[in-house]
Amino acid sequence: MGAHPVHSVFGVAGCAFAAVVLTLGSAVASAAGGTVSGKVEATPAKFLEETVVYLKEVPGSFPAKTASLDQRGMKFIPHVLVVTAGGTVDFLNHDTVAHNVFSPDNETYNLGTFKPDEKRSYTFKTGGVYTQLCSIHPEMLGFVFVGENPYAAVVGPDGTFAIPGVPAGTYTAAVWNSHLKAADKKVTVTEGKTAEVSFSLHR
Amino acid sequence: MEADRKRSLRRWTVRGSVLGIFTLLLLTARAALGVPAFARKYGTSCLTCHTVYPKLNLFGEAFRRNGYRFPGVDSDFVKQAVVPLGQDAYKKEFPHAVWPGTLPGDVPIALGFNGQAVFHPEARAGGAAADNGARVNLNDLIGEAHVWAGGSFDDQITFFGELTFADGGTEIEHVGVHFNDLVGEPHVLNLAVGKIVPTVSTFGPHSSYLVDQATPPLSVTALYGATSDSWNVADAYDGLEVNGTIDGRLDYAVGGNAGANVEVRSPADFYAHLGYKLGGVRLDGEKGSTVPDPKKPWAEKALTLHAFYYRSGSRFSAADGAVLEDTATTFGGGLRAQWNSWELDSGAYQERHDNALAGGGRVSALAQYDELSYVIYPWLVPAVRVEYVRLSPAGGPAVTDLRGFAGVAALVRPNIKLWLVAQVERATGAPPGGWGPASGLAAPTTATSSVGPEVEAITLGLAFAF
Repeated sequence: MGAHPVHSVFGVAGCAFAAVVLTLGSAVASAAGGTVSGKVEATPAKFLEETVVYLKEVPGSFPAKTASLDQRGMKFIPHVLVVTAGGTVDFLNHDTVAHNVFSPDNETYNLGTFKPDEKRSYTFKTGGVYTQLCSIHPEMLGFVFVGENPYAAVVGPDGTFAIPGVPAGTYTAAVWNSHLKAADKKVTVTEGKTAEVSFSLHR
Repeated sequence: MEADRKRSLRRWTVRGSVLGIFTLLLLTARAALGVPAFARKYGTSCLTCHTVYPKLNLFGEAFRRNGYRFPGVDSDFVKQAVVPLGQDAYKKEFPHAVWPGTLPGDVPIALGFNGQAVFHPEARAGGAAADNGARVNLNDLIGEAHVWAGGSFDDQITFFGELTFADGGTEIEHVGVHFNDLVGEPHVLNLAVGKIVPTVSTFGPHSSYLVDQATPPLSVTALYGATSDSWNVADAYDGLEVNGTIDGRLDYAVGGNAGANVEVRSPADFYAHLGYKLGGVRLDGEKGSTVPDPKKPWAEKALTLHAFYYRSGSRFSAADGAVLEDTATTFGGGLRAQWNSWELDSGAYQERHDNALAGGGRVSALAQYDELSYVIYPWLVPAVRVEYVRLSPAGGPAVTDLRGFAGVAALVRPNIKLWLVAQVERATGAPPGGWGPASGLAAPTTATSSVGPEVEAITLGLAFAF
């Protein structure tokens, strides 16, 4: 993850945030390992919804998964989606108007215009943060965070997060935010236990 | 020759009565208030930027100087809903996409009203005479209404404007688009375009607790009856201005505008300003620059020196149909000395006109002002102020007008203001149009007689904005 611009400056989120904590990878390793959890504080707090905490350089191979990103009410839902490199995202359109999905970041792609209830998919080969835009509705904004491993989580509206199923070991915990940044931290995970790590985001 | 002079004086006298009305309008005008549109945008109090509005505190001055933006990244502080007209990521698509911007989620408009009750303790004074001998004038208790628009198109481009509604009609007081941070470090180079108030001081044009304009306007061609649409250093004109703050200590402005011309002509007005602040918080409010006592956001120990040059070319039609052209060359300067809650603002400028008389002829003018204020409480500020004007027309007698103001400005609420001000005046002679266009009320009967000192008015003012 270190090579991609995780601190790219993206636009101010105009869409409401679907406040969910996603823990991709938990299905793979939830039965074993420990949990990394904590809290992120942001100044200004209004950018907190666009934050992902992730672990760098976790050894292993990780099966590709499929996730979905919906367009509903002219918003990308969820606002931030986490997948693993090699994974596929099904872009849905549950609006009654046509939408387009494209990203100017990293691999760059344009899925064209798709009608209501149409689904188009894209498989992410390279890790990084992909801004999701709709050329028909320039105010729409979403993010797909493509991790090198599944150990990443979107923070909740209160700033808390949890990454379960992490193999025991010492890792570098990092944070991505659309506008803000914070220094990486070391975290040691013990089997069956929870390791705490927190971040304070600033300009 | 003498007969011509008398005819000219009679003509001036007739114009003087018209200009007398203009005088009252000037005196009753307190156009500047706070701007709740900004308060709504940032979800913050008027007191973030003002002491007793429109007087700006140190943060408010930095906000104004920065093109109506907070230090740092302006949008970080915006609490009002914003409609994105394209997300920031669209910048990567340019020129294949429109450069993104934002729209305020709510209409960025604010309203305000102001006026005053005027008492004339001396029935024979010029102030009472201007009110037809009335001792009490309530006719302007609500004398003006204002509509302000203020906000941003993105983190660099902002807008600010004001419409004023009064008995005399509706006027665009000023309106401009501000393109900020064009090159280099933040605040080093900005461009303002529109009908903007020329920057002739390091501080805002309404830096007074007692009068509307800190730099007293001196409409010399109006004073001598040449035109009612007279240029002066304090008015807003259509044009553009490059300005900025360097290293938080030095501020500058260079601008050009159309000036006050009855007829269209090529823009010929040019001005430049330079200021430097010693001590205290930075002029741009950046880098964590804070006041010594956060409970007193107006207080510091600092000295600021500033100077300006202004060249204006006016073209106007005289009463006899002849077209006159007047060039005014003005040099001025001032200082603000601050010692905790004490503040002294002083300044003066010398203005030389080559054709300001109704029949043509040179006039040299001097305007000087001093205002001392002390913030007792955040809501209560007494102040005293002196303004002095001297006019020296070619071939005519020099005349002077000395005005003293003493009073107090108070906040009932952060957006409701009262002020009580007494004005004393002494005039030695008067220009043919009276002292009105110079904001004076004293009315010597001839160009060589004198009146005063006399108490012209005691004013109880009310202003509120929302």
